[in-house]
Amino acid sequence: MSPLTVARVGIGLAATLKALELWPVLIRLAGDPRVVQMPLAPWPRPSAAAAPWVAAAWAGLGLTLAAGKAVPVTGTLLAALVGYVLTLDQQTYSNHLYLLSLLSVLLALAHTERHREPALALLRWQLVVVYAFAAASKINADFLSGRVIAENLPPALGWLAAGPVPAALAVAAIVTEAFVAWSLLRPRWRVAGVIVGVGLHIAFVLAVTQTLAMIAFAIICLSIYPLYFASTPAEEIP
Amino acid sequence: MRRWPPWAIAFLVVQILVPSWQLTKPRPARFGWQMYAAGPPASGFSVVGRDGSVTSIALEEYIVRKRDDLDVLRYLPPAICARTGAASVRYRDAAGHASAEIPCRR
Repeated sequence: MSPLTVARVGIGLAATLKALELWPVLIRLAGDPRVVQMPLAPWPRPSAAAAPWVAAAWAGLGLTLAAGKAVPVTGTLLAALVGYVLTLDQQTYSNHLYLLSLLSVLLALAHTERHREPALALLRWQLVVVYAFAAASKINADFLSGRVIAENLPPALGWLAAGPVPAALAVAAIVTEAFVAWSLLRPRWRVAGVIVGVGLHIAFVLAVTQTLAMIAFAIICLSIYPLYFASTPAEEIP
Repeated sequence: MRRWPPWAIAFLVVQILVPSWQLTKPRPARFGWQMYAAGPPASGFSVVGRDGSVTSIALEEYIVRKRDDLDVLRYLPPAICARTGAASVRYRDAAGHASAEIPCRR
């Protein structure tokens, strides 16, 4: 299985998972008048009857992409549909959906003769950008206090919320994300970066309450990792 | 090094400039990869009735998906006021310590 195939299958399956995760959200947003609308973009909203079809089309496109059928078309359609959902309302926005939308369109371009090389390079860069800004944005008093980590721990790990542990975990999270971003484009450090990155995503799945979202995020990110070993990227830093 | 086409350069530039700009705004900001970077701007909403009584609000009745980057202070108080007929809406600030109050418009 080629690295690009791994990326395509991973992103397709993650898209399907995200569709299942957002399915009830879309249905309630469209059909429950008690929910406060918080529009992000002035798109027409799906009716209560159409919302399940939006989610079903999304899941279907994810599976079609994973199967490798007409990738330039399915990738573009998936990016457009996910882009529509994530800008529909503040409550449907998520960084994971944003990443999924960007990677879907890059995947579509990577399956065309003309744009293949720059699209592959951008797929690699995109993940570096995500890790780098994830680390940079966490450098603030609120996160460094450990409060955010303590509030998002699952009940089974509630004992970690005591004392200086959350603050120590906050520093560790920033250092780890920054290291993964730094190392992925450097051949000498790439294997170490991948090992640390895999560990980081395992930690996210185990230690963050939103398990399904973290699994989908892990699939999205880890499916890109083989691309760093596909060839010698022209843009890499020695 | 092979030259990148203009669209690819533009894509990467946007992907660096937008999150960089978002770092200058209160966190967490959207489109900046600011995942779990900070807590919500307000929490612990309750309504203060005309008789001074305080009743806590179940946010699930107003929000379908709780996120730290929601503009809760822009959207929730008007909706809570309209639905409950309260005199004001009370909430805890971003740090979760001090409480603040927004009067309902009549």
